[in-house]
Amino acid sequence: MSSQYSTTNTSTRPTPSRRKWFIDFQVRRNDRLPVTTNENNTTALANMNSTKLLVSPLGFSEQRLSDLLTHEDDEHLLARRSWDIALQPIKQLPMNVVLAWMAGNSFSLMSIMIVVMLFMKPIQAIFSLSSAFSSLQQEGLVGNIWLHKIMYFLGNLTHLALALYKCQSMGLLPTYNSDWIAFADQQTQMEMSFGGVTYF
Amino acid sequence: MTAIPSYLYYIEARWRKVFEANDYGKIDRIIWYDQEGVIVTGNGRRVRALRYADGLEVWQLAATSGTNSNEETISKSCQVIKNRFDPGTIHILNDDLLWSVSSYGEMLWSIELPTKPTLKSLFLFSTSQYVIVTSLDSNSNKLQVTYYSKQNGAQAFSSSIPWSFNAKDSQSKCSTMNNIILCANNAELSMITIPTTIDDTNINTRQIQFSNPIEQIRVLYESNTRSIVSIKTDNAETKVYQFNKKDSTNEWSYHELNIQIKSNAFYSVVSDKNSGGQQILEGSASQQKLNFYLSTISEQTLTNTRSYSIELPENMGDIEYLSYSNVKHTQFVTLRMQDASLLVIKLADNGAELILHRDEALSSIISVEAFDLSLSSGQMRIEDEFGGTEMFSMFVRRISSQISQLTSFVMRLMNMFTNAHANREYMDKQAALVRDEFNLNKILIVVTSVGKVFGILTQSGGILWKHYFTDFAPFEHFNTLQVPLFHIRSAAHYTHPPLASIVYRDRNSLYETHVRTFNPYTGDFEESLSTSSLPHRIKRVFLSTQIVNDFCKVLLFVDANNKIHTYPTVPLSRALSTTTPTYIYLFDKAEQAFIGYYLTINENEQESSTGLKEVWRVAFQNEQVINIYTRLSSDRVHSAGIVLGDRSVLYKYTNPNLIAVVTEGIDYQKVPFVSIYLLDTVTGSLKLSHTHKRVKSPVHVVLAENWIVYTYYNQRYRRYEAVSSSLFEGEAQYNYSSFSSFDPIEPVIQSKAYILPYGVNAIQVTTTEKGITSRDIIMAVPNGMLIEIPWMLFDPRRPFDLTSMDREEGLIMYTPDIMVNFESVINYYKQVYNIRGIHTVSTGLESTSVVFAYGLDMFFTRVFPSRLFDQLKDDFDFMFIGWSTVAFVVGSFIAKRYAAIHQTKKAWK
Repeated sequence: MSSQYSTTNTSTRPTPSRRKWFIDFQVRRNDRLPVTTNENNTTALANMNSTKLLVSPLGFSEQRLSDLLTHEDDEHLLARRSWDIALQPIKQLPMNVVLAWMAGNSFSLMSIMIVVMLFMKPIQAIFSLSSAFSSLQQEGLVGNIWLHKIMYFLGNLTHLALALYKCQSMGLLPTYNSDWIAFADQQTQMEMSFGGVTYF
Repeated sequence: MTAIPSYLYYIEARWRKVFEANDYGKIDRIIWYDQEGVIVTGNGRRVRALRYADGLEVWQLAATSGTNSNEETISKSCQVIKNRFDPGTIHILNDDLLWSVSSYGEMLWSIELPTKPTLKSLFLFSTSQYVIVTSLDSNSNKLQVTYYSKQNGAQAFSSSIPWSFNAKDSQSKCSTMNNIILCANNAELSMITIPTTIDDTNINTRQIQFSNPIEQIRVLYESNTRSIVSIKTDNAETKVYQFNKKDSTNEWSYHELNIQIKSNAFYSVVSDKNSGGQQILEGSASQQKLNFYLSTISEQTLTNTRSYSIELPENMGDIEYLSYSNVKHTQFVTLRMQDASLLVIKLADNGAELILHRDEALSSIISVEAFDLSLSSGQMRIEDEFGGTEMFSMFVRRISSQISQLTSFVMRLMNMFTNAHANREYMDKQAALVRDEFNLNKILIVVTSVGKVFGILTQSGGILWKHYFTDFAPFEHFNTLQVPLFHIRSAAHYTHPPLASIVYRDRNSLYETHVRTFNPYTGDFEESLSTSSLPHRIKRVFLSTQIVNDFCKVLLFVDANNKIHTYPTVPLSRALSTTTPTYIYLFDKAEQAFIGYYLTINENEQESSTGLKEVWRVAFQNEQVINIYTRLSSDRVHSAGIVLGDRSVLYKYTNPNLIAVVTEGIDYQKVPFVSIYLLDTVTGSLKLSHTHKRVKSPVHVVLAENWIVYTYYNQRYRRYEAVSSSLFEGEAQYNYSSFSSFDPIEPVIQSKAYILPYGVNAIQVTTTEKGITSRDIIMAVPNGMLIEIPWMLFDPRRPFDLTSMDREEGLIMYTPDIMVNFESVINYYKQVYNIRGIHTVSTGLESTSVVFAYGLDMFFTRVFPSRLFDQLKDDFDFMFIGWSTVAFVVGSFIAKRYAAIHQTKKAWK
């Protein structure tokens, strides 16, 4: 038994699992232990052992329904969770639109704070992109999530676009000629002229 | 030192009365009574009496004449006499009006004389019964003598005598004395005695022969029985004749008096109350010295002659007017010198003493330039300190300059302790000449029409130096006088003192032109850059654009043959930029045309004179050019356009070659009009033309940046109006980097007219260093105020109905009236009258512009068109800020300590 445990432990260690550890109080001849592992050869071996040792109880099905189910559930969860995170910025967008609209185009402390917030939040979110998805890893969900990261990034970009649009509508962007006129050099004179009234 | 003052006189102006600035204020004659003076002004149209004690105008009378209400036909000549037999009556004659006024302010009678173009009233005489008018009938060359009753002005009778002079000569060469007309006819003096009573019809004519032609006749003294006349001949010799009336007859005998000074002298005669005789004072000026001879006139000779002489503090030229008075045994001589100085000299037994000297020339300023003050020696050393290039030399410079700074500091301390009082004044004067931190104080160089140049310090208004040019005569510029005054070397080159040049004509020969260059701080001449006479007659002078030798610019002259010369002589290619083509425009008064010339400068040629090639010509027909205006040379345009409400840009049309031309004329419907043109002086094209009908000059114009503001008098509505126009290129700029007059830009013009609350004497715009600060218009008005009006109120873009876009732009809704609130009067209650010009100068602070207004009075102040945005307010509380900073620092240390204690306590819990 101990060897079984040890084997399971050793086998589970290299790959990150959903749970760090667990104690199975339903000791059924280790028949369900290998469920936690992903390695098929050890499961097959354990199955062979268990079938040899014990007769299945009533109602026991050989089909490993639960086993398959758990696995699929995890992936589903991963997908759901990661999409949740990836789409979170887009979901927040309408709220920010309303906020931006509420702030108005005039300059006041509130509107300036809101504009600053509109800029800060997506930039912060983009920089902490990996940490946003790290909670998935903590929950033990592993998978290919680069697409979600891109989605998350794009979602934040929409926030930035909103912020820029807000600046534009508030007139903060130097997009007009008038914004650059103060930097224009003086025109050089191509001709000189002197003169006046003759003295006699 | 002959004069020892026994007691000091303190003379100050007790009161002052400023008359009208126009013809009505021109004084014709003052008749001095015991308590008040009767002043006849406006060519004999207004009479008023001023009380000596307080300046109160006791009474005023104006001639009421229906036919002559039109101002343009105001006569040019006027005769005022006090009736000799009845001193309380004054008779006034101008061309067509004869009236009598009593000294109590009562108009006795007034009659209109027949007006004929051939008849011209000349002389006025008075007897106990009649007022006699002699008028010249130029048809028959006869002098009509008409007698009017003194009581009611009724015409009694008239006679006529043959007359050989024309009207102009009669006025210039003749003068009257009692009932005698004295006329200079070349070297012959004719005396024509006019009979004073009806019975006597005998017109007596006598001649006195002179060896030289007579230049001037002056009547020095006249009473009923005796007159004294000085006659100056053209070899500068003066003779004084005494005329005595023979008893019972109408005959006069004469004899020459034997005077001391034969030439170049002025005379004044007073009757001596004690002896009943007359005293004659002769005065003459030689260099800086005045000589006087005071004698008593006996029957034939001068006796009891005493001589006085006094050294003047400066050269004042010759005497222009001299008057001697003997008040309570104190003898005073009042003089007006050629440099317009007013002198009062007291003659006493122990010598002559100057008790008053006023520079009246300062009321006739015609040119002003402001110079920056020099850097202090410390500032100069800093400039020196960072001047080196090599590492070692830089180090040596630095050490040496710092040592010299230390030594000068020690020296100054020593000086302060040892002789604190001795040269305090000198030290103050030196300190006043050093530039302040923000370059707010300047030296004003003013040139007056009499030829006196002053250096005035702006912080105190004190005169630093003055110099009188004895051979000075100004140039003419559209009926005003002008003297070109140039910055030859600016104050920016601290190793060389700045230099200023004036160009003027010779007083005696108008063909000769003088150039004088001087240091504006001291008035010392730079002889190498001064010349007494240029070898050519000049049409126009201007300053070179390039610095030639020793940081000096040169003067460029256009001579009568349209050739350009430089003074001092340098190749033209060095004086003017060879890369930018140079155009020269000249206005020809005879042709009423502007002619534009192209100046070809060959880079390789070393010639200093070049001919001009005519490229355009703009002639005005049926209208007369009355003035032209250019931008100030210090005009800066900071922003290339105006930002509109929708954040697009309206680009300004800032053509540096524009001039404003003001013309005047009468159209075919006999309606007077005034036209304003903006003329491009490179191409000769007109960029703007406005015509205003039923409008009268004076037109005052300000041309700056891309706009023009001008004022005129509207005859139809009888008010002063201002028109403001701006020129724009439009929404896009033709060429953002360079401007050429040949660019095919049709400027968009926007204009608005405004009603001014006051008349205008002079108008100018503020100048700042970079042109960022908004502009204000400074306006001098006839009631003595200087008003600062923001240009924003004159903005031609002020809308009729204000949209939100206009509000965004900061425009104000159009109202035709320019409201002046009294806060914008920059001279408060220090009223200044008859202002003829305003000079504005930029300072080291962008927010600040300094304003100098001159005319009869002078006024100097600083203005802040956009408020003080780059300076702390005067009432800024430095102590409060300082102490609160200290308190915060101390408080934060205490708070830090308390916080530490608190933290420790919290940790123990």
